[in-house]
Amino acid sequence: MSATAQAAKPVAARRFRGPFAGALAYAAIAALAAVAAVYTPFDDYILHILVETATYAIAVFGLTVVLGLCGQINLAQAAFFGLGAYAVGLGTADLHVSFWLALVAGAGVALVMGALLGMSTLRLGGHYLAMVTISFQQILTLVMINWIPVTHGPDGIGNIARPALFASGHGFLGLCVIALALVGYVVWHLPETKLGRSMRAVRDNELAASVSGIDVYRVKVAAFALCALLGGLGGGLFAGGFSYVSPDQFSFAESIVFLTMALLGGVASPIGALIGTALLIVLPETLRFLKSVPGLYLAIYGLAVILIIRFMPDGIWGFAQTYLRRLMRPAPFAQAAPDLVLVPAKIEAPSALEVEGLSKHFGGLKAVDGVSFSVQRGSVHALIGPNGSGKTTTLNVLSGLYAPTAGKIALDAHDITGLPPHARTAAGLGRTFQNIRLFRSMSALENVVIGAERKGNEIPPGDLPRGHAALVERARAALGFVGLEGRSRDPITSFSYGHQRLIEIARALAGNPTLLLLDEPAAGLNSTEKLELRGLLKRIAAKGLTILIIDHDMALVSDVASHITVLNFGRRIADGVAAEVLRNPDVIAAYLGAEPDVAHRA
Amino acid sequence: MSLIALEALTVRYGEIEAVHGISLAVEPGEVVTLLGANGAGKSTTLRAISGLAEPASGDILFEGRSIAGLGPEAIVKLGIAHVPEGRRVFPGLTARENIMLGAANRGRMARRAIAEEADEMFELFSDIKPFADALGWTLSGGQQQMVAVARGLMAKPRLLLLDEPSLGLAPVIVQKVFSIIAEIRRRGTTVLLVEQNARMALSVADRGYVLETGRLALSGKPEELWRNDDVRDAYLGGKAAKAV
Amino acid sequence: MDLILQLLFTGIGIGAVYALVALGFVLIFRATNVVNFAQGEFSMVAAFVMVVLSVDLGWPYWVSFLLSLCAMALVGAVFNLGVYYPLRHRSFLPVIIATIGASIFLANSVLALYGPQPQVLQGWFDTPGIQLGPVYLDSQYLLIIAVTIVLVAFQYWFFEHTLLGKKLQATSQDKEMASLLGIPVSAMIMLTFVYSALLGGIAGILVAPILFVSIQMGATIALKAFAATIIGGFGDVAGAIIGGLALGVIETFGAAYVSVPYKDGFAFLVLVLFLIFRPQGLFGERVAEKA
Repeated sequence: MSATAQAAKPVAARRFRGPFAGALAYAAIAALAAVAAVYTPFDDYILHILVETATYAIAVFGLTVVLGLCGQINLAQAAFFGLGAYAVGLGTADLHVSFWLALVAGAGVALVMGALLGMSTLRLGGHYLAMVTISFQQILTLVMINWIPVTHGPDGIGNIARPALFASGHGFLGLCVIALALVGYVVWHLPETKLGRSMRAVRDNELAASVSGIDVYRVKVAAFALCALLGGLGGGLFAGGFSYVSPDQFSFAESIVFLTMALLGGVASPIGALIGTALLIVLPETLRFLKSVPGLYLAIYGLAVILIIRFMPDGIWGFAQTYLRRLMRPAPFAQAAPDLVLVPAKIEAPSALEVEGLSKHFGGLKAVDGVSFSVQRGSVHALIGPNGSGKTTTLNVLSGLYAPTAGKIALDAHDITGLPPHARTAAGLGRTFQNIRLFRSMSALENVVIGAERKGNEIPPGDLPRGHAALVERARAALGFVGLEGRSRDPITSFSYGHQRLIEIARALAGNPTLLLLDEPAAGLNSTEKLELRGLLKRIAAKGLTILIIDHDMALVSDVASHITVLNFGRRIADGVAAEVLRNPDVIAAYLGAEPDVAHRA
Repeated sequence: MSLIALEALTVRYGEIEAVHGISLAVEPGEVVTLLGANGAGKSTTLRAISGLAEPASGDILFEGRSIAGLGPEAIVKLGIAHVPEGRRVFPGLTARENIMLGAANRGRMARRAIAEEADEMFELFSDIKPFADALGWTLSGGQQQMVAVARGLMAKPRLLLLDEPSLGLAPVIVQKVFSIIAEIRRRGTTVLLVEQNARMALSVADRGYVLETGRLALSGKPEELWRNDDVRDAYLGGKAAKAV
Repeated sequence: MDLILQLLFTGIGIGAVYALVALGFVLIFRATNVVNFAQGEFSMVAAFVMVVLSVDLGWPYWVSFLLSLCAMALVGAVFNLGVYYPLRHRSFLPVIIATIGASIFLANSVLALYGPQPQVLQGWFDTPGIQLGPVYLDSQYLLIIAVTIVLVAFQYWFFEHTLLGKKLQATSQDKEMASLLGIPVSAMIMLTFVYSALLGGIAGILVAPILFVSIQMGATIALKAFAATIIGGFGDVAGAIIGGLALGVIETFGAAYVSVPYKDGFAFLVLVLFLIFRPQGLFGERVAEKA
């Protein structure tokens, strides 16, 4: 399900049926499905297929989370599935512990293994994760086959017990349906939670996520661990359903089957996961000749993966959704957006930002070289200089994207020099990017909600209590402030470039920062938009927010800035009150060029 | 016939329409400069000429023949070399290797012949001669710029596109770069120069154009443009221009 | 001591195979910023083509070898056109998923066509090996080491001393700039894929007489080669070679002194240790941050 429609749905539901109506309806349908599973007289063959579909789907939901929501890969879902299955198998058949205990233990082991794998790898690029998960998959298969005293080796484990309450085949199917419904509910609503929003933000744009205050690494590890947990849970139920497990059921090939299921159905939604799982379990059953030639159906899966990626990247459900979305327009908000309040939580120093002796060198290039300046609270301070003078590098060092070679940065008297980007955001830094970095799969409102969710954003007294409603109100206020509240539910891609710029500013404003860094906000805007931007910056300044702006548009800078720092060749060449700095001959020379004069031209 | 002529050229850059219907021409042997503030569409114009950006409408004529829609590899083979903004020296290759690759558009050539031409470049750019075997990323900004220009000249272009050669360079180095541009002009290569440093650019140019948010605002002789308040406005903003 | 020397020889021999496949990884990674997860399958496919030509059809070894290499060049080219090229403007995740799909496709197509029985491929030499003092030098291992030395030397010469090599390097460092100079970028990438497939193919044919020729051999070799690239430092050519050799030695000693069934697990262990303690590998961080 797409980001937009997904988040919009509960709001629409709330409007017509009250807050819990949706959940109640879902529970009723799930209960009905479970009852139907128990009492419909399926034969064993159908029962077998249904249990397989339900348990596999739970594991594929894991991939919906890690791959669909968070954009990370996991090629070992069958291994996590196997951990859960072996825990239930060994626990009930050899150790004779309760099914429930074994199930929880298996899911727990999968969770821990997933977290450990993720922690060791997720700081690095995605291909590391791919290869490490493949390796983990291989090693687990080796252990299952070779650690015979414990795992029974290639023979596998038989006589796996079920809980007494769900001992019959139909009863157990009922249990699987209930589990599937519960997990499905969680995965369905995950994108609307803080964690789920963070995952989507990380998938859409890691850099923007980190400067919006999201700890990218932790979110990735959480997504990966959750995926492993669902794998373990599905595997545990699978073992109970089939009462026999063996290593070949949890091989790398099965991990690829899980992946294909997720991709085919549509990786962004649990509905897609269910469609993909059901199709890839039923299809090979009906096309049995495929299974008669070893390798043939996996070869087709491999080919299918390539073709899906190339021609249908959103899967079946994603494809269907583009049509459904046109039918489901979310209802507008009943009340007008509140006013945007911009109040610094606390004030500790007269200057919002102190930069001392900041340097950043790249090889032989001294991009920034010993720059110092101070931004007075409540002022609009401009950092200017010709192209390549080191402005953007300075900004990137300030927001933590580059580590400085030397120097110190203090935000509101707190040293933030060593902090990662998300921690600087939590400390009160907000920023926008020269090349707009929005979360492109989301609506304007969702983008701004992520900004509002900034850790350390103390919503001022008198405002709504914290919680999702408060965040939405705050985001609407910020969108209203930049004049786009009326279109808050529209997807980002439908906005013009100039409006996307405003949404990015709204995202930063919603976080109520101590200092707002604007990196060339006028870049790419036409003259009307530039005029609007000028007005907006003045209104932000009037609210008392401190702004540090970088721009080339001197008309804009000379109009809005009270203080200017000028850089050239990575060094500070002027600093002070705007009008004086602009009269400084060094500054004029830096911009228009120094000698030789045209008049002296040969 | 103009060496290069843009006819009502419009270019989109992602979602932004960066260049709106500009027309300009460069005659053989001229140095023409394209001025304007950042985001005015100067770089995009050069990218369209060299084939990195595809024109949305309008035409680009090189010696009377349309080159709009051709790829960069084909365009450089026609004799248009582009030295892009930011120098783009290959970081993992030496200065000499970077320069030698500049001849890649000229078909099969003996390695030795290319090496000899590269040596001639080191005579023209004597400052980088000692760094011939240093890797690209270890060079300073000025050295990288000279490597980039030398690499562009190795293509034996009839039209050289220079994008902000003074970017981030100290005044002394900027003067060196511009004396080299004067030398290139003396040798008869036509140059289309995009510059932020208006004074420097106008000091070497025969004519200039001023771009403002993707449209052609002014054109004329260097002296006229230099005296024009609008040019100063574009660079320094209204207030500052009056203060000068 | 004798055993140690013997194991060292064996380890270097098997490590040379990992090094060749790792080189293929690194070359494609540098040219396209994508890890080709089907790199190991190039080895597997080449070994099977070799089995078909030299065992089943009984053609002479050298004829079969050359034809296998031609087949691999074709596989590399088709792989580029079918898997990488259409996705070249997409982000890295779809591309690696597609290479994984291709790997599954290749392995299982061979399985479907040839069946699951592992095949035996004879080495090039009739003599099994020579005794040198306390160490027995198996002829196939000697051949592997010799071929690896020749290929590495060739590759060094090619990249450092030919213009074509420099053009390939330029393409991998900055494609847009390379195209501005008139370097045919698409052709350079095609060449990289073809060459990597050849490297993988040679490795597969060389190692086939030592291992069985099976459809699993691709995945196993790819895993080892990937571990080798991590050990050496991702994207570093010399690192890939040294990493491959190191891994071969570690694995051989591990199998002799710790456990045979878990031999394939050592690569994973080493991989994870490196990822945790030295993710940049032995030779990482050579190029500056903003290169």
